[in-house]
Order: sequence, then C-alpha cells, then structure tokens
Amino acid sequence: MTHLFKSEKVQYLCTCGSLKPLCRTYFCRHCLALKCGECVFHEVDILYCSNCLENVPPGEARVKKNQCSECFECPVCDQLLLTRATNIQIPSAEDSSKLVPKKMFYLVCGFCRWTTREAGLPDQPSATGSWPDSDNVNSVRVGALLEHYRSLAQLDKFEKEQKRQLKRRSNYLSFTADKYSLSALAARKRSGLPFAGSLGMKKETPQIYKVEPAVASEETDDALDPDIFTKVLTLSNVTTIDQRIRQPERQPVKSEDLIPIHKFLSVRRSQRCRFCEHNLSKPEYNPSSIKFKIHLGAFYHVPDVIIYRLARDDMQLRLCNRSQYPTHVRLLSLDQFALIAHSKIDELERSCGEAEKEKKSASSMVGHELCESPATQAANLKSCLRNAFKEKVNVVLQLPNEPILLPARDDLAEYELTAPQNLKEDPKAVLWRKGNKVVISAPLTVIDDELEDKRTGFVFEFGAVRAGFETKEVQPQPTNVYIPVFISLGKI
Amino acid sequence: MELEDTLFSTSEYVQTHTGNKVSRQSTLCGSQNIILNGKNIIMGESMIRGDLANVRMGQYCILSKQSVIRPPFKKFAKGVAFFPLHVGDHVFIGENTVVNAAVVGSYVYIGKNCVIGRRCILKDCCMIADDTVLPPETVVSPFTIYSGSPGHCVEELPEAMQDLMIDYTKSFYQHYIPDKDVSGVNPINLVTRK
Repeated sequence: MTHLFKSEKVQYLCTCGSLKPLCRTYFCRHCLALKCGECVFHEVDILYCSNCLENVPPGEARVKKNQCSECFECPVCDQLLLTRATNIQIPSAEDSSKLVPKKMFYLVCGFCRWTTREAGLPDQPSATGSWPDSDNVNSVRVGALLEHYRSLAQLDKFEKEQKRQLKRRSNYLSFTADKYSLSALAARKRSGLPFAGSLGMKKETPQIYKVEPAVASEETDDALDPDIFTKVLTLSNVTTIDQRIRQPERQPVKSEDLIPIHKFLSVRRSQRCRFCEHNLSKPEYNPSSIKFKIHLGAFYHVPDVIIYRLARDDMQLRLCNRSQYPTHVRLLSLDQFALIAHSKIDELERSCGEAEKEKKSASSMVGHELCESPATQAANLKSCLRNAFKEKVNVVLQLPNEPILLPARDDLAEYELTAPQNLKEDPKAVLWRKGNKVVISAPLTVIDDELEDKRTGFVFEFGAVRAGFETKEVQPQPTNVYIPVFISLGKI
Repeated sequence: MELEDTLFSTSEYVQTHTGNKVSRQSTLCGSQNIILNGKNIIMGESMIRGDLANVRMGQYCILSKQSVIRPPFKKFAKGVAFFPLHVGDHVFIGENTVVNAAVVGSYVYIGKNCVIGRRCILKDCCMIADDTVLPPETVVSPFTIYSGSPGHCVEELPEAMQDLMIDYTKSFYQHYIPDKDVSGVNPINLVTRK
C-alpha cells in the first residue's frame, strides 16, 4: 500500500522547494503553481467528535474545552468507553415492600476492560450525561489570576485609548484654537483638566481585580508517600506518566483515582494559498462526508507520472491526465527548461518595465492581478529554476521531443473500444494509449555511477487554464506551466 | 509503480457473469445470504460467514488470502442476534485479517493481520494499517489512518484517497488474470449463481 501515496519514487517540486508526491500537493488555479502542505495556510474548518461524528460549533467547543460531552475515553488505554446496563432491584416508589428492577449504567473499556466501578464511581441511572466531571483543585486560584490579568489588560487598553485621544486632540487644538475661538478648550488642556463632554468615553478608569500574591513554601502537595520505602510496591496500582499527563488537572498517582476522560474533538482543516489567499481545499460541513466544496488538489489538475516498467537502460513512464480539459504535455530535460526559463524571464522583465510606466505598483494589485503580473511570474520562474537545479541528478533520460496529447478525463471512455485516431505520433516514443493514459518510452543513461541510489529529473510543460476567466463567449487560453519532477530509481 | 500481472490458476478460480473472481478454496458459508455486486476478487482460503447474517459487498472489492469476514453479534437479554455486514465499493482487505465490523464504507484500505473489532464502523476513505487491532465499537472517521494495538489515529490521508483507491482496485482487478489453459480452450468457467 505504500506505493499508493507514501511512495517517494516520483516527486514533484513545489514552489517552496520541497519535494512531495503528487497526491499531497495542491494546484492553485490563480497562481498556476504547485503548493504543498508546508506552503499553504491551514485553517480549522470543522470541529467534530470522531466517535459520534457530530459537528460542534466553535463557540460551544471553547466553552466545553474542545471536548465531546457524550463520549468518554478510557484513562488507561485511551480507547472509547462503552455504556453497559445492569438490572438492580430497588424498592418501588408506590409500595416500598415490592422490589422493582431498574436499569443502572456503567462504562467499560472495550480493549483493557477497565470499568468505572474500579474508580469507585457509582453506577448512574441514566445512560448519558450524568457522569461527574473531573474537579480541578486549583480552579479557584487560576480563575482569580485570570480575572486579575484580564483587568490589567483592560486598564492598559484604556490608557492607550486615552493617550491616542490626547495626541489627536493636542494637534487639533494647537493649530485651530485661536482661529475658531476654541481658546477655552486650549486653556482646559493646558491646565491639565480632563476634557469635558468626552463623546461617550468612560470617565472611570477600570479597576484592577486584586489577588493575593502566592506564598512560597517548602512542602509540596505531591510529596512521595513514605510507605514506598517500607511496603512492597505493586506497579499495577500506580499510574504511568502518560496516564497522569492525560488528566493534567488531577494527575492521579494511584490507579484507583483514574476517572473517565471526555473525548477530545477532532479537526477538519481547509487549506488556503499563501500568495493569493484563495481557498485550495474546503471540506463539506458534514464530518462523515468525503466530498469537498472546493477541491483543488494537484492530483486533478496536473498530469500524473508513474513508472510503468523499469530496466537497466530503459524506463517506461505512464502519464495520466485527470483534469476536465485535454492538454498537450511536453517533457523537457533540465537544461532545455533552463533555456526556456531564461528567455521567458527576460521577456517578462521587459513587460515589467512597461507596466511600471503605467504606474501600477505591486502593492496596489490584488488577487488575480497580482498572480498574473509579469513581476510575480518572473519571480516564480526564477525560484523554480533555482530549486530545480539544487536537486542532484545522476541519470539522464532521453525524452520525446514533440508535445504529447493527453485527452481529458472521461469516465465513459473505459467502455469505448476504439482508440482516438488521426494522431501523428512517433510510435517509438508513445508506446500505448488508452483513454486519458499514455505510456511513453524514456531510455536511461547513467552519468554518475558512484552513488547507488539513482535519481533522474525532468520538467513537465503543460497547459493550464487560469481561474477567474471562464465566460461563455470566450474560451480561456491555457498558459504554459512548468513543474519539475524528480524520480528516485533506487538501485538499477 | 504500475502493478504487475498476477496470474491465478484457472482451475482454482471461478468467474461469474458479473465478473466476480472467486477461488474454489475459499469458504463461502450461507452463499444465499452473500451478495457480491460485481468485479470482486475472493482469494484462496478466505472465508465469508454468510450463514450468520447477510453480507453485502460492493463493486471492485478485494478479499485477500486467509481473511475472514464475519458479521458482528449483539447480546440481548433474550439471546444473541447477528447483524448484517455491509461493505462498500473499492475496498481492499489484506491477508489474514478478521473483519467483524458492522459497516465498512467505500474506498477503504485494510492492511494485513488486522483485527477489526465487532460492531466497528469504518467510514468512507479511511485506512487501517497492517497489524492493527481495533477494539469493539470503534468509529473510524474519514481520511484517517488507524494503526497500533489498540488502534489510534496516527495520520491523515490525502484528499485524493477516493480516486487513489478506485485506481488501485481497478488496476488490481484488471491485472488479476488467469493463466491460459494449455489446450487453448476458454479457461473461464461461468456459473449462474452470484
């Protein structure tokens, strides 16, 4: 299974310079560049409990300390606690001499068989919502400290506001006092009296919440029990460090003090491009859904390369296009790419100079204008070139010269029997074609035999349509995108 | 790497008209309760316990050798009842695994030597790594990888997991071909039952 997505064999070079497999990258359709998990913003989109798969709104999550109210975890092995019921006989409400069965509930761990009875917690009459929460011994003191610092922060804010108001007003008064006969105000300010009629500003300064300073003492609460030196220690009665840290408020030392922990909420993230701030991936609201509202994974926009067959002097690569548009792909060697990139950079820098004459600065451009500007494109190409040449390559590929057509993804194509005709292709280069997949031949030449691990690289040139321009009348023109790809061949 | 062709001996496998490739050495108990939706591969020495409850598997599912699919049970005051087991499409189950789950979603990869506890719920697009033990009634949320004994969520899967599993199971199925009979006779036997 590792070859599915953890495979380190074929890796794409991201704009930040790191190599990632294709399924772990995103393709920003505004910047027309590859972004990996390290160069995008990750934002928390949905908070949900991984057991009951219930969405929790962020405000409620903060109140409940990011924990689910219904689901519990075993304090010993961190697995889900299951609710079991027993029947006990209790005297009925009407007639105290008759015994009526009543259901009582307790929690049990499915893996290590820990139960709430071991902690001494009594069975609860209702299945949900009645288990006691862990009590925090220090909650009163921590609450008092928080109040104190909150009041200090408010005082700071108040003083800042005052300073700002005074600064503004001082300039105003000094320049205009005599002109507009505001000398009374100027006189008040000079004498240091507070400004009268202060437009809704609070007149009282906020009070500081007083808290008693902590007193240091030599004795600590969690001193080691002197019995440890005299009695035999049973390790099963003592909690492990992991178990202790999982309940930081209580940190029980003995196993019998462990109580069930509320399950922590899981997070679904959405990703955003750092440069143009467009969303790259946004999941659905429902946590059990596998669909996405926005899904700009590189897997669906950039052609995929897999090693089809590998031999000592020959390699076959399979290219697959999973996007909705057909595209022409050219595989360039790193030197060819360098030549093309240099000429493009010169061209873009020339048009950069012309844009400056029109008085458009980078700071005034926003969104797709920024992505499209010649300065940005030139900078991107330069960094791509620099990163591509940092990678060491010791095998050279003989790549086909002409562009290869990769048809668009068509789910019905697998039921079609006829292959697309009218394609003038070199039969030696393109070996096999089916639907949106093409196998090409790429003979190898090892240039440096010293290292056992052989690596090779090439640059994909394919056409991509920039987002934001799709209108019904005009078909958007695809722009060429260059993505370096590096393949580790291992030992051949 | 592209998968190599895996050949199976024609005498060992039976191919139905819906494209299921079932090994003769596998044990399908209660086959009238087992529904295989098409293009599934049931490899040798595996077992599907349809005699306990209904088992339904979607398309392009692969059950590797020596694995067991067993519907879960629930204890009631008056006895024990077995619940049906539903497996979604494009599911790969590794060798020597015991699946006791209540529901296995679609596009799931289960590694080898795993034990999926009873009444577990595996949602779509999740992965269970090799040698994992999932305690009973665990819910595995989408796009997570569970590993270890007991199973914990260790990693997140890429968003393209659905397409990756579709590609993997389809190419596995297409490369699982019979070796030709010596006499050149069509080696695929057709049977009318599913």
